[in-house]
Amino acid sequence: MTGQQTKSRSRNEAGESRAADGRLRVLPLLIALLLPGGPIRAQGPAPHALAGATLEDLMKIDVTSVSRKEQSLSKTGAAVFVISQEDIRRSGATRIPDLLRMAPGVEVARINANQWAISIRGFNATYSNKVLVLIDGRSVYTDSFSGVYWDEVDTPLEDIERIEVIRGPGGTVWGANAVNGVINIITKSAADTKGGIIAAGSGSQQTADGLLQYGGDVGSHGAYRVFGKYFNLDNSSLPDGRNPADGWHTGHAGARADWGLSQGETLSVQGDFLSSGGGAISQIVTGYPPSLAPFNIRISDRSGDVLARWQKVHANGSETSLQIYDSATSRRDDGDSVTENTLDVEFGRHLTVAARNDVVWGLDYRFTREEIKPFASYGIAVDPARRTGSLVAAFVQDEIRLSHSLSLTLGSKIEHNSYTDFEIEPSVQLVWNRDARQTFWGSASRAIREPDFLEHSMTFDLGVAPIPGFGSGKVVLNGNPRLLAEQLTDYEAGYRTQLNSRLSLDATGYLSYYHHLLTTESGAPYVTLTSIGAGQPAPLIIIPLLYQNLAHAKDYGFELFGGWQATSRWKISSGLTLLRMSIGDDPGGNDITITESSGDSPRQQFEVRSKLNLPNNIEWDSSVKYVGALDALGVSGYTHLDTRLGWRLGERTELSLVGQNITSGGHFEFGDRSGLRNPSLAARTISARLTWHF
Amino acid sequence: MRTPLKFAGVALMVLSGAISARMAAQAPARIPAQAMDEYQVKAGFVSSFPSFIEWPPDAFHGPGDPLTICVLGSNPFGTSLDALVAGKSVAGHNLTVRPIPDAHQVTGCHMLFVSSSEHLRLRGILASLGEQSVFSIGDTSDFIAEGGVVSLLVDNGRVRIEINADAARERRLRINARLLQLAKGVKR
Repeated sequence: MTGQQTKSRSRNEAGESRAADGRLRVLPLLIALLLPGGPIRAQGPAPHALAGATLEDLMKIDVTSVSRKEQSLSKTGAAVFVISQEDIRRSGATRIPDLLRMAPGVEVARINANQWAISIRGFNATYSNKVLVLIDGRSVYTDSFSGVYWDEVDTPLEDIERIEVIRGPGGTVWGANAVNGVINIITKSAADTKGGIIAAGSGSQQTADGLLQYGGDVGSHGAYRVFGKYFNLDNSSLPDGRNPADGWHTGHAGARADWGLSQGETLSVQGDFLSSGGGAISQIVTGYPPSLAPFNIRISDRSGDVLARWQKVHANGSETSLQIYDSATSRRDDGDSVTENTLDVEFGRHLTVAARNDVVWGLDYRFTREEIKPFASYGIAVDPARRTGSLVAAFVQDEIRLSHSLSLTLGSKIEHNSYTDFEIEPSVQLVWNRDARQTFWGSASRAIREPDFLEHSMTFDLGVAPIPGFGSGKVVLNGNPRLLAEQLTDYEAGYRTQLNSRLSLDATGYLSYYHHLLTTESGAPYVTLTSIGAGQPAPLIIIPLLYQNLAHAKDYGFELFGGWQATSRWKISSGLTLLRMSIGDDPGGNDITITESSGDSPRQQFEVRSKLNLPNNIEWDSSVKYVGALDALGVSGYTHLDTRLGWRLGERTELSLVGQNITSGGHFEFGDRSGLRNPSLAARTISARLTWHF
Repeated sequence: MRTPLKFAGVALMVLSGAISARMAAQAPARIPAQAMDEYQVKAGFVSSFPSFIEWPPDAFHGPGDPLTICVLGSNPFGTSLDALVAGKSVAGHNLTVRPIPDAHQVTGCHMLFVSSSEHLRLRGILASLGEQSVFSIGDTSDFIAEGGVVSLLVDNGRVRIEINADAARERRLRINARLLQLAKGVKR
C-alpha cells in the first residue's frame, strides 16, 4: 500500500465534492451581505460570489489555501490533526519533535538535548511504544525495542508537505503498534522543490544548522532533488551545575526523484543516509552492596533507507500501488550495539464497487533482521543475539454510503507475526455529515502492540545485594518467549464544525480499554552457591523477575481544537487535551511501576497559537502551551512560550528570529523511569535562521 | 515564572489585536472581508481572462463557435468554474468548460488550465501543445519558465498573475494591455 496517501483518500474522496457544494451554497449569501450593492438577484441558479468581480477586485482578495487533503480529512471518522507546511515554517521549530507540540492530544516531553519522550493519549516513556511513526510510508518504529529513535527522524522541514497526526488506534489500516496513534510525515514531490535552497541558522542551543538542497528536471516527465544537512546541538545544563554532556550532531544526505510515467501513473524513488553522534548521562548498577551511579555515555548512530513507490490512478478512478523499502540502522549506545535491517513490500488497491462501496485492500510483507550485542559488564545478555522475523498482513476496508450524508466503514487487518502468531485488528466507523459544515462520527476498534526482541530474549542482572543474616541476593530480569500482544479496545466519538467562515471546532472524546499490558513480575526465589570476590562460596538467592502481561487499563479523555480567523491577517488557534488514566494489576500481577505510570503523562494540556501577518512582509507568530504535572515522575506543570519574527526580504530570502521556551529559566519536562537517561533542563533558547531560495 | 508569562501573554493579545483591527479598517469595502478559498478566486481569474485575450481568426470555426476552457488533470475548482462561466459570452462566443484527460485531446481548446496534479509531466504537456493558439494557465512555480503563458501563484495570501509574453506571441495570442499591467512578472 503506498503510504497513507491512498489509505486516507479511500475514506473520503466523496467528501470533497460535498464540501465544495456546501461552500458554494453559503458564500453568495455571505458576500451579498457584505457588498454594498445589496442582495443578489434571486432568479435562476444563484450566481457565483465572484460573478462580475474585476481582475483588480480578484487581486485584492485574501485567499486561504486548504489542500484537498485537509478538506477530505475533515470528513473522516477519526481524530486527525494536520500540520501544514505553513504551520511548520511559522512554528520556528527546527526539529520535528518540537513541531509535534502543536498537535492536540500529543505529549511531547524533552528528556535531554537529543532525546524526547513522545506519545499520544498517555503511556509516555523514554521509548514510548504505542505510537507508530512513518516517513513517506516507511515505518521508523524500531521493532527490536518498540520505540522510535527520534534523533533519526530528521526530514528537512522545507521538504515536508504535511504531517498527519492521527489520534487513536490505526491498526485496521496501519497494523501492529498503531495503538494510540499514528504520525505520518509526508514529503513534497520533487516536482514541487525545483531550484535551490541554502539555509543556515545558529542559536543558543542549536549552534549550527544548515541545509543545502538543489532540485531540477529529469527529462520531460520527471524531477529530482538532492540535499545535505547538518546540525550541531550544544550541551544543556543540570540544576546542580554539572554538565550533562548531551550535545549532539547529525549529518544527513538524501535524494528523491519522481516521474510521471503516463497519465495518472507516478514512480517515486527516495533514499537517505544519516550519521549522528552525541552523549547522555545514564545510570549503572554497580558495587557491592549495589548502588546506582551516573556515568557519561557516548552514542553513535548510522542509518539509511531506500524506498520506491509506484502508483497508478486508472481511467475508471480506481488506484493501484506498490511500495518497497529497505531500511537499516546501526547504533552504538556506549558499549551496546544494535543493528536492525527491515525489508518491506506493500501492495494496495482502492476501488469503487457497485457505486456505494469505496473499498481499499492491501497486502504487506515485512522481513526484519535484528542483532543486539549488549556490553557484557552491564549484566545484560540477549540469547540468541540475532533474530529474524517476518510479518505477513492483509487488510480490507469498505466505506459504505448508506445515504447522501451517512456512511459506515468496516474493516480489519489480519496479520501473522513471529511472536504471537495471528492477530486481528478490526474497526467500525460511522460518519454523519449532517450538512456541509458539520460532521459527527463514532468508532470502535481494536489494536495491538507486538512484543519485541528484548522483551522476548533478554536476561538482565540487575545487581547483587547483601541480605542480612543469610548472604547475598541477586535480581535477574528475564525475557519471556510466551508474551502476548498488548491489546486495546477503543471507543471514540467526535464532532467537527465550521461554524462560519472564520471559526472551526473539532472535539473528540474516547474511552480506551487496554488488556495484557506488559508487566515485570517476580518469580519464586531459589538458592545457588557462588563466590563473591575471593571469599568462600556462599549461598546466593536468585530473585527472578519475568516479563508478563498482567495489567489492564481504562483511560478516557477529551480533545478540543478550535481555529479562529480573527481578521484576514490574524489567525488564532487553541487546543485543550484532557486525559485520565487508571492502570491496574490483573489477578496474580503485582507490578507497582506500571500502575504508577499513569502519572507519567499530563492530565491536562492547553495551548493558544497566534499567526499574524504584519505589513512589510513581516510575520509574527507566538504560542503558549501549558503542560500539566507528571505526578509519578516529580515533574511539575510548566508553560512553554515560543515566539517567532519572520521577515521576507524579497521573493527568495527569509530571515527568522525565534525564541523558544522564553519565559523559562530551566525546567524538567520528563523524568526517566527506566534509569536509561538522566533528564537535563529545558531552558530558553534564542536562534536566527536565514533561508535563501535560488 | 508564571507571573511574567501572564503579562507577556496579555501584552501579546492586546498588541496583535490592535494591529489587526487597524489593518481590517484599512481594507477596501468592495472586496469580501473574509478570506476565500484559493481555487474559488482562481476560477474567478480563469473566467475573466477571455475578455482580455484576442485569438487569431482561425482559432474559431465560425462566429457562433464556443470559447472552450479545458481543464487537464484533476479539477481543483469543484463547480465554481462552471458556475462562473455559465451564461457568459465574449465577442459572441459562449464560454464552456471541458475536462480533458490527456494533453493530446487539446484540439478545440482555446484555454487550457493545467492542474498541479500534472506537475511532473508539465514539460511534456506544454511541448505537445506546439504552437497551437492555446492560452495555457497553470499554478505551479515553474509554469512560466517551462513555456506556459500565464501562471496564477499565491503570494503573501493573494493571487498574483505572471505572464510569459513571448509564449503568447509565439501562439499568436494578443493580450490586452490592462492585463499586462496587472501582471507582476511579465517575461518578454
